[in-house]
Amino acid sequence: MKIPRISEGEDPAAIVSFEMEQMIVPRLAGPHVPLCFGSGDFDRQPYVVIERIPGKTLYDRLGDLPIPYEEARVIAGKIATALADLHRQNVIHHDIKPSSIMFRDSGEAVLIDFGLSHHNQLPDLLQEEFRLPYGTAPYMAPERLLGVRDDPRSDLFSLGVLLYFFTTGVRPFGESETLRGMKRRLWRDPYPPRKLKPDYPLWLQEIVLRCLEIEPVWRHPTASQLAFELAHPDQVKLTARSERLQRDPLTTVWRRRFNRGLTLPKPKSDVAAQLASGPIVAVAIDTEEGSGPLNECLRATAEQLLATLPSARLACINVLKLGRITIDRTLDEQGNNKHIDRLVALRHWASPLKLDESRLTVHVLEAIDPASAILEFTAVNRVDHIVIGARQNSMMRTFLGSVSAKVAAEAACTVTVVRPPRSAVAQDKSSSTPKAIEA
Amino acid sequence: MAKPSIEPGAELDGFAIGERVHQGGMATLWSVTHPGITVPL
Repeated sequence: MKIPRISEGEDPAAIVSFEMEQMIVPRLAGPHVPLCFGSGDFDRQPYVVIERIPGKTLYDRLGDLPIPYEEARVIAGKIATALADLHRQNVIHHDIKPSSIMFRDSGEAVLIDFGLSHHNQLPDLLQEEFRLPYGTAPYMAPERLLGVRDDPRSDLFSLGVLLYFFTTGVRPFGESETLRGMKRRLWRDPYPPRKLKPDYPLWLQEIVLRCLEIEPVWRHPTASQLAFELAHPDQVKLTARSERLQRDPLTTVWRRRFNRGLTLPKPKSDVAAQLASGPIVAVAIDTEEGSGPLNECLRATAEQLLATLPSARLACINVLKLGRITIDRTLDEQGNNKHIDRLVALRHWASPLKLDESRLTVHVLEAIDPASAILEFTAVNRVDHIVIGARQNSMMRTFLGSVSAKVAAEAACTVTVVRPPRSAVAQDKSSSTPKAIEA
Repeated sequence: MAKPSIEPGAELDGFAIGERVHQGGMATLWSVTHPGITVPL
């Protein structure tokens, strides 16, 4: 049973990555992933129950490095086969490293820890809520540093790092944890293994350096093809890569470094994906007390919009306002995690809409300025339509400024500002029709 | 909405919680058993 750490001071990424794991693991099948037996959500106690794989992870082998070439070939082949099976199920692991790999008694590699994974048919919460790439620095593919999370060949790069490390005893890109240090791999290639170990087999260097290509298009096209090469080393087509003893000359490195736009293919256009998956509608919801009637109106408006757009996706946003100068606590007076309470409140708000999981996401943004946070979220995620409520309480508005006015004025997409009818506010009733103003 | 505490011997949705197996940066892992499931969890 896996239980996320959500106490005081924990990284909000822990919550989001647990949500991802909880969405992805039950959808996986086959010998290369742990079986999932049940899960509980944030309403009460979040958990997932997975099969217990006996034995240790590959991390345990770090003391034995470097290991013999033949053994490394067999291990990497099993991991490549497991990755092929995972990619076939529309999932990119994104955290391939020794401690995420185990082996069954029957020999198959089992991939664990799907907290950073990307599912092709599910919303990618890590992509949407965090601007920094999350992962394990030494193993992270260069394109990840540019925000690309939908290329399965990122996993092949990580496997290449692992194979390089296990056969030479040296990490190809060092252990740098800083973004600056990690970015070097966007232009600087590692030392060819043959420079470190003169007896390194040509076929193995060919495979390793191909996995570590900066451009995903130069790597093996699929994990299955990589697995095939590892299974048939005598059939690996040797290129100039296999005999290299030096890194690329500095002229090449500089060209890569200073002509980034020319050398890297643009990440897959979000617009195309967006057109295919339907528009995104974001609803900003206030979970504070006294916003009941307004939230009812927001829901009615969202319902009308979604009824006309059957492929639209709904993103519910709430801003957890941070103090400008105070030190914020992540727990409230009762010891509940505020971030999670908000997530639960958003899910409750959305539950009457009865939307499928793939059409609904909830997001809690932590920010000092709510309007800016909403604007940034909607810009980054290319939201097509924002629905936001206007505060009726003029006292509050005087003190805090109008969030809806700023969003309506500065957003790049359509904004609907919803106001509950006066009578509804007065009587605290919610059955009346909302009056929507298109801005 | 009382928070159930997670500790050895506690029960959650039919799963009996055993010892803590791993404490990671983002989550903790517990060994659990369920009367209806024979695979080790």
